[in-house]
Amino acid sequence: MLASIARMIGRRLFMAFFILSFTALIVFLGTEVLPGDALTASIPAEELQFYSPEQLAQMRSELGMDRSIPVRFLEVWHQLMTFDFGTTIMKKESVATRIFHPIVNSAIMAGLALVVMLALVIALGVLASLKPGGRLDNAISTTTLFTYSMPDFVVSNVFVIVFAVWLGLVPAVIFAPTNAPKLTILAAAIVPVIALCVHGAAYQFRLLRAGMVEALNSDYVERARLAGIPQWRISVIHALPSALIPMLNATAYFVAGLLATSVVVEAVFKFPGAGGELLRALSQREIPTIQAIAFLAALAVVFANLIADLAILALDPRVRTRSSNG
Amino acid sequence: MAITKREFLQLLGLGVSAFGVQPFITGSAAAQTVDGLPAWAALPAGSNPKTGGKLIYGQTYPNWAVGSSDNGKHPYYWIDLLTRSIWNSLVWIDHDYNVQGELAESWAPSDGTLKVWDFKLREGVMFHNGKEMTSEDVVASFNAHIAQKGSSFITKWFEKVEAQGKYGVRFILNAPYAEWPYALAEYRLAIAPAAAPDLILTDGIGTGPFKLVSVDNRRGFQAVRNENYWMKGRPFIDELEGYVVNSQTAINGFRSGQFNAVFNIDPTTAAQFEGAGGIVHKSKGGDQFLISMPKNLDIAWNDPRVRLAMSLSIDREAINTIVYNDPGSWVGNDTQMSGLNREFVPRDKAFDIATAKKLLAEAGHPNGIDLPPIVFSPSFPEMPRIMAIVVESLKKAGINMDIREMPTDGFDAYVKGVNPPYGRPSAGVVGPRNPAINLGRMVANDVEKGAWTGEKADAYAKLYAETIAEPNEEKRIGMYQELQKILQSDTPAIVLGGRRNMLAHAPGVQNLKSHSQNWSSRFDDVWIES
Repeated sequence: MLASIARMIGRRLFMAFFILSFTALIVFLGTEVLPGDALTASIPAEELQFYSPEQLAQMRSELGMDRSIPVRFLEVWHQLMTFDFGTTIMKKESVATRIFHPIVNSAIMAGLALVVMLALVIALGVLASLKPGGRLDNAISTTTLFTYSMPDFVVSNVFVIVFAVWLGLVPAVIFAPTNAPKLTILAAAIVPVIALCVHGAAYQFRLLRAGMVEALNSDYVERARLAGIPQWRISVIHALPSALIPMLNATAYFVAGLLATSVVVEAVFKFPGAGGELLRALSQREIPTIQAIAFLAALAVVFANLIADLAILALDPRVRTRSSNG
Repeated sequence: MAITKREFLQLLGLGVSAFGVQPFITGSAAAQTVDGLPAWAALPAGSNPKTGGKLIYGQTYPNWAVGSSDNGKHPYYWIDLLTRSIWNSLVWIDHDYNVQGELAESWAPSDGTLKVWDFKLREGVMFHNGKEMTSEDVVASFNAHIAQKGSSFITKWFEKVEAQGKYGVRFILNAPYAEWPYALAEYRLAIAPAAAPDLILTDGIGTGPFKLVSVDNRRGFQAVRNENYWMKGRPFIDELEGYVVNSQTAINGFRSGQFNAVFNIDPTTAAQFEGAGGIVHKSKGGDQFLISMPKNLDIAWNDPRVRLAMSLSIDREAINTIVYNDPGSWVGNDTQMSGLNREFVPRDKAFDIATAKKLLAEAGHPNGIDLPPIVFSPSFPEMPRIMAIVVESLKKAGINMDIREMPTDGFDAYVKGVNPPYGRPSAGVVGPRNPAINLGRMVANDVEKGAWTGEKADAYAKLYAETIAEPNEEKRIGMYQELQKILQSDTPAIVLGGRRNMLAHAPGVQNLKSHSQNWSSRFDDVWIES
């Protein structure tokens, strides 16, 4: 059994390698090849006249335009895979150094958001499923339907107005510097994390609740109920594991969407994360920085999917059996 | 031989009188003190300042040079331009545009050539590291400013600086400059302890009212009261913090009580600050928005008729009204001068679409023209709205020109990274200063000058040199006006509009004033009531 699980993990890692390679290809094509070339990606055609022939020649050389597209892709692929993100175009500073703290800060925020979101969703899902159609279930379901339809920038601003301006419970503006200690960043991330979770948790909750209701109506749960096992134990021990399975795939999507949503949330709260850095890089056409952040985001998604797969493997005996059978 | 302060001043006075240059030496006898403080530092009558408290301000206008360096301890790369929190310069420009002695007690030209200027330093001024400021530090600081190209307002004329005893320095210029002291008030020209060339100015040590605790120049800083500040009894507040924020975050922070002041508020948000109990303070003027157009490339605006057509197409009054809700508040003339300068000469007609179209037709563009994009960074929060009005105004005259917003972080490097030394076409901010500096920019600032050449450029440069060499202030006024007319006739750059700086503060914050020169704002005379 263990050998088969190890084989499955190996297959997933192998797939992850291909997915990351494919991501590198997409990033490469998107930033360096389409619609023109590496130079026009960083310099629009109407601005080419501001560059001297020497500058253009140097940039062509630096961007590898004197080499074929496949060769350049292999170079970019190798750089990304070895986390060598090169230097910025304008200032020639290390991209890795430039984005290190913002990436770490965003990772802290995303990690915390993931934990909080899962805890919140599981707690609400279990509570709501205790009595489907009951007052509590209706209240939670209606609330999550409402929060699911609220855009992140609205949620963030509402949080600022309510919790910072009206109630004075949290700061409206995060003062922590980009290189602040991790605990400071963790503390600063609490409100943005809740704002991130409001939207994400709603969708996950709906999936979990549906899974819980289905599980609680299943035969094995009925047998457990007849055996006199308490309802809370039935919900948590017997129904929850199988109900979590459909939700976990959505959790991976939640992680994938974190970069996009965190751009908005970071701007509202002035959180020192990668979202702001990405916006700056996009405005300045800093291709190496965009490539690095895009690749790291893809890596996070691949990693999240791998964790989700492993969790499903742990929770679902049918998957384990399929793995075991090859 | 030791020389006393009194003897030094008497000598300066004798020297000045001997050469008949008294009319322009404003502030040379600025040694008057009230309770040991310079006269200009006096508080409003009836003030009863409290000590203690913390001022936390939000700043919507980050330092344009952030992105050039991560070292926020260097005054050039401080989070914003308000470097007088940590550092001082030799002189300061007050709210009425007078030069006042900051670390310099007095100054005067040593003779009638206006090429040698002597400054007497204050005695007993201590740096944050406990070392006394002497002429050695001032000399080292200015040598560093020249080496690091700190200010184009001095580099072109600076030849050398020498110590004159422990508390005196002498600037030797390569050409006469009647208004030299004014140029030394710049926020970048901070005085720091002498150190090796690669270390000086890099450690956040100054003589200012607050000592730096920590800084992240893309975000904010924390500082504490300098107990040994040279203005005895100042500053009043114990702690000072500042954070760069966008306009919406500034309001959120103010409403939540995190900020008790916000500098450079978006004019359209003034009512929101007032609604949150804030007090809004407007200065007499503020920065102007100037388009720099490199003329060394094959672009249609190399023809002065096209540039004039561009200028005449821009509806500045719409900017005054729509963006600032303050009709008639600003008037410019496509020079770095504004209505605030008494030497200002307005254009005969500033907005005339018909003439603009006619000029375009004469220049060979009867059906309109497409021009390269201009980039800008939204130094002030209202800038994107100004640019939108400009783009629409130009379109009405048949001029299609995109104005693209870029982040402030790294903007300077982005502009200057191509087409050296003129850079790419850009819209920047130009602060209000005296005419010598304002009009000198079209001689010394390559980006704003934008490869302006030809007969008029030559005539301008020649007249400018003569103007700043002219010791008589009244004569200089006429010459400054003539310089503006030359610029208007050739339009090497275009000024889109101008602002009145505004800040908002909580009612408990006292004596915090918006300065027309944003960077000349002070914190050493501010106190908090409760």
